[in-house]
Amino acid sequence: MNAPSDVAALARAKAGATVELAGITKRFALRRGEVVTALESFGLSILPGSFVAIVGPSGCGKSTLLRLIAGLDRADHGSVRIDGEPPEVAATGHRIGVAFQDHALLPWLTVHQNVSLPFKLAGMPADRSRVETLVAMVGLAEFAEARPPQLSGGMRQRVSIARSLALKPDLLLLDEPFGALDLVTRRALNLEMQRVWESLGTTTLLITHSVDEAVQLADRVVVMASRPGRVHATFDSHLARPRTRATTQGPEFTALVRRVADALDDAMSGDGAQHVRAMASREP
Amino acid sequence: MGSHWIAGVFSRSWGILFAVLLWDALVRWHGFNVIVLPDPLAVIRAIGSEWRVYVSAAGMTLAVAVAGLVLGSVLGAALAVSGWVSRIVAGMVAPAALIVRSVPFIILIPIFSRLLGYNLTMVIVVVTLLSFFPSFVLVSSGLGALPKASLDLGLVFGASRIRMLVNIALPAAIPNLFASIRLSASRAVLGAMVAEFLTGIDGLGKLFLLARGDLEAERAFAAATVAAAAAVALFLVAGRIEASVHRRMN
Amino acid sequence: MKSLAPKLVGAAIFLVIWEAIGRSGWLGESFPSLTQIGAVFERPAARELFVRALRVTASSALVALSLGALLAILLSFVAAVLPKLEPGLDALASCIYAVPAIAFGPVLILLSGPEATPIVLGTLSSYFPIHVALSSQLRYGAHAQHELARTLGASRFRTFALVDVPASVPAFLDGLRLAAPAAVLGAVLGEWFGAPRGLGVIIISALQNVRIPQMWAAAALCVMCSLLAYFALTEAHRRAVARFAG
Repeated sequence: MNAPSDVAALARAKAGATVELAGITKRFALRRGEVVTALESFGLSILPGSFVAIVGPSGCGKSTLLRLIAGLDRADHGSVRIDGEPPEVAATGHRIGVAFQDHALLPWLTVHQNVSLPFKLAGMPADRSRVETLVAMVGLAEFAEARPPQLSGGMRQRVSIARSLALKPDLLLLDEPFGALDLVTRRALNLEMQRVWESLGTTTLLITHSVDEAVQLADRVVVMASRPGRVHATFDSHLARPRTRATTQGPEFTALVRRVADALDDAMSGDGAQHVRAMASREP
Repeated sequence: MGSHWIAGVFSRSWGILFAVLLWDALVRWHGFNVIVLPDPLAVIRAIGSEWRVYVSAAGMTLAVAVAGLVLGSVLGAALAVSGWVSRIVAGMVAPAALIVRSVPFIILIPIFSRLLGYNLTMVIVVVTLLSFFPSFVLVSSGLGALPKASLDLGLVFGASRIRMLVNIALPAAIPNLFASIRLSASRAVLGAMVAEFLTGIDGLGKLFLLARGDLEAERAFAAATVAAAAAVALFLVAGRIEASVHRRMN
Repeated sequence: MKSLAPKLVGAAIFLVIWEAIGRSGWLGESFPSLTQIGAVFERPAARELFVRALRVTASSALVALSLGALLAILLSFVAAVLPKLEPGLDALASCIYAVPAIAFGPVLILLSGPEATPIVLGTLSSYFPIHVALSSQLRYGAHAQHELARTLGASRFRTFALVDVPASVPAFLDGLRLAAPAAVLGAVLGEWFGAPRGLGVIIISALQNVRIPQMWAAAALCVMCSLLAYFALTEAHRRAVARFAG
């Protein structure tokens, strides 16, 4: 079912939040008076309903970026706007869904109850069938009554993903949500993610280490460089949707992956090469 | 600028002001014999007229309290760590610690004064015993709450028990140590004061004793109020230290 | 229960050492041997007296501990939900805890009567450890979960009810087990000021008549009371950690 891309884009544009970052600078003070610049004059525009993936070397400020958009931290300079307002407005309006690296599950609640938590926190009655659907979607239907201490890291991550979708958010922020999962589960969830995203039209921002995953899921892939964190390159992905396994085997996909990976290498060679050289010089 | 400061002070002290007003109301309403409970103003006047005496007595009591508090907390922490390293030590110390904690304070003084005499050492020993149990329990708790993953990590890296102790266990125990210091701070000051009261060692307790002997309730309550203030001050300082330790560690 | 064996061994060693010290008289008359202390309980009349006193003190301590817990919960929760009130409440809480009992003991006897004074003093001694443990947890705990709740737009009250309250159960029980001996000692102290019955009364009269073994016998019962409460609450704490802290 290949809907014409502009019609699909229009349909998606009705839902989904617009995210605008302009001139973001964020510094952190370490001990002993050192200051590290996590982000410098960072700018990004995310259209409503679009899917943006961010790849970059470790320490390039990806997680800081997500925290700034979620309103958990304030930038030293520049502005973050969700639908033209500061992030706190979207947060208070329960329009943001997050799945961060720290899953922050409540250990005394079952899987089902954890996925229902956003409803409770927003003061709404929980939508039982929706919660059950989400739990089944991430493949944990059998574990619905288990508690986080009884689950593996990957399973806890899946609960976190299901939870992020509970309130049908306008904006979805995902920080390496599939990191702890095996390849098979990851692929299955990638497909599910696409389906959910298509139907909800949520604006999605995904941080990932996997270039494959980024190219497969996103409309746009942003490659970041570090120290300071900034945009190194941007790639638009016009691959037709839905993007199945077949898509990932096609020449267009492979070419795009290669271009993104090259850009990532370039971004890393900034300080990555320095690190390798430093380590080599210390070798006996 | 000035109003900001006043607002800050008020936000901390409204509770105490409220309590003092209650005290005043209580005295007026109940018509206590002044020997039992004087009114707050008389007490404040008594402090004001002889403030140098009270300050120096407070200094002595605080010195004893801090000495006992630090000694006791460090002792408790050290025993908790030894207990963590060796289960037999834990087995021996835990019941002893608990028993020492559960023995009524009022019998500790006569007991220890027979042992050590009526002197400063005895008072410090008693305050040390008072502060030792919360530290032992809380630090043991902190060590026991170490996530197994950290310990496994240490084992896999072949860390010796000592290394694990220093790099993994102690950082887990330190916040609890400072929490227990905050917890025991007031009790250390009051314990020091009571010990001085029962033994006649110099300090706020002695002032209280003398004033009681002379049936001068205002001065007795003045000593008690200054002791309370010192206890609270020590508690607040301990809280500040605990907060800065948390900041450094997180 | 493999951790029980070393504890029992340790306790046994402690008792043996005590007996040895008492028999040898190394620390003087103030430290009698366990057999001397035990001899106090030989006469049935004495046993009856002690049991009655124990019951009075234990029930005062139990009421005091419960009231102390309620007071601590009230203070910590109000401070957590209305953080503007926290500095004032904290200061008040520490002030109340800081006032020397010897000063206002007589006041309490007049105000609340000789029978309620042990409960009042026990409450004042026990609420503070619980309050400190709870407030430490509420201030510094469940950080990631708080951030999650913030992003999801939860009100402060909802975050408190759904995240903080369950997360603070282990800390509450931690404080409670520390407070249990304090409640017993507070009750004993209160009895010292003029209650008609209780272990504190026995201790004071033993002190005044210089009957050291009797004083230790009463103290021993205090200790056993505290230990029982402490171990029961420690077990409860262990279970709470498993359930609420993962």
